[in-house]
Amino acid sequence: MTDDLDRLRGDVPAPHPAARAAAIGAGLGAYDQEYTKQTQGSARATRLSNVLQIIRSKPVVPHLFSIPRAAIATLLAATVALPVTQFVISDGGNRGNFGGFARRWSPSRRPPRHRLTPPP
Amino acid sequence: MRVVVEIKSLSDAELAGRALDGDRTAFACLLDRHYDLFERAAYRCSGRRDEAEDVTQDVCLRLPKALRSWSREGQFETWAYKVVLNAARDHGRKRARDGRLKDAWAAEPPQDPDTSSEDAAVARLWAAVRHLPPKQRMAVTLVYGEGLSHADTAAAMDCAEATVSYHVHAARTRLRTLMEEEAA
Repeated sequence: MTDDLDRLRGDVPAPHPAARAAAIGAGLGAYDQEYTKQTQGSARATRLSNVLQIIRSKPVVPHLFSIPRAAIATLLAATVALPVTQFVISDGGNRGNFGGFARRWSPSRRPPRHRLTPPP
Repeated sequence: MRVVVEIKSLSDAELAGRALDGDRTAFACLLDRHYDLFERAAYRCSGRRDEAEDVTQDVCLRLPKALRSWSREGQFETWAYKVVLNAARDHGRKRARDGRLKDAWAAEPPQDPDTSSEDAAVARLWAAVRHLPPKQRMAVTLVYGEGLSHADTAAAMDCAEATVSYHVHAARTRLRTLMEEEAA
C-alpha cells in the first residue's frame, strides 16, 4: 500500500494559459481593491458594484436576479468593455440568490390571498 | 528590467511582506510563482480540471485579503496550502448545495474526472482517495500527493502533527479496504 500511495505524487495536467492569465488578473484586481483602490478599472468595478447593490434592493424584475452571478458579471463586463475578471460579485454569503431576494419574490411564493385583498 | 530581476530573486516571505506593504509587482510575482502549486493542489483535491481552475481563481481572489492574516512565520507555501484547502472545501460545499442549479445552467455537462494523464491503477487509487472522509483525504493529498512532511501538513491543516499521523493511518486502512472491495 505504501508503494501505491507513493504513486499518488504523479504528474497533473499543466494549467491552461488562458485560465492562468485570467486567475492572475482577477487576483491583481482583488489586490487593487484591497490595498490600493487606485486603478481606473477597479474603481469602475467598485462603482458598478455599488450600483448593483442598489438595484438588488429594489423590487424590479425580481426573477432577473436568480440568474447566476457569473452571467451578471459577464453582462456588466460586456456593458462597460472591461475584462470579466474585474468583477467580483458577492452574494453576501447567501445561497447564490442575492440574500433570498429572488426566493422571496418568486411567483411560487406569493403572499397569501387575503393579504392581496384591499382593506375595507 | 533590473527591478524585475530583483523582485524575482526575492524569497516568498519577502515578496509577501512587500505585497502587504502595497507593492503590486511583488504580489503579481507571488501569484505567478505559485499559480501552478495552487492549481496542482486544487486538482488533486477535486480530480477535475474545471473545478481546479475555479478553485484556483478563487484562491487568487482570496489571497490579497488572506495575506493580512499571514503571521510572517513559517513557510509561505505551507500557509498557501491552507488557503487552497479552504477554498477547495468551500467550493465542494457550494457545489453540493447548488449542484442541480449549476448543472442546469451549465453550457456543457460536467466532465468525469480527467484520467487522461494518469494510468488506470493510479486513477483508481485517486478515486478511492476521493471517497475518504475530508480530513483523511486532505492528509493523504498533502502527504502523498504533494510530498509534504507531517509537520507541514499539520500546519496547513491547522492541527497537531499526531493528528495528521492518525488521519494518514486511518486513511491507509480505509484505502486498503476500498481497494480490496473493488478488486473482489
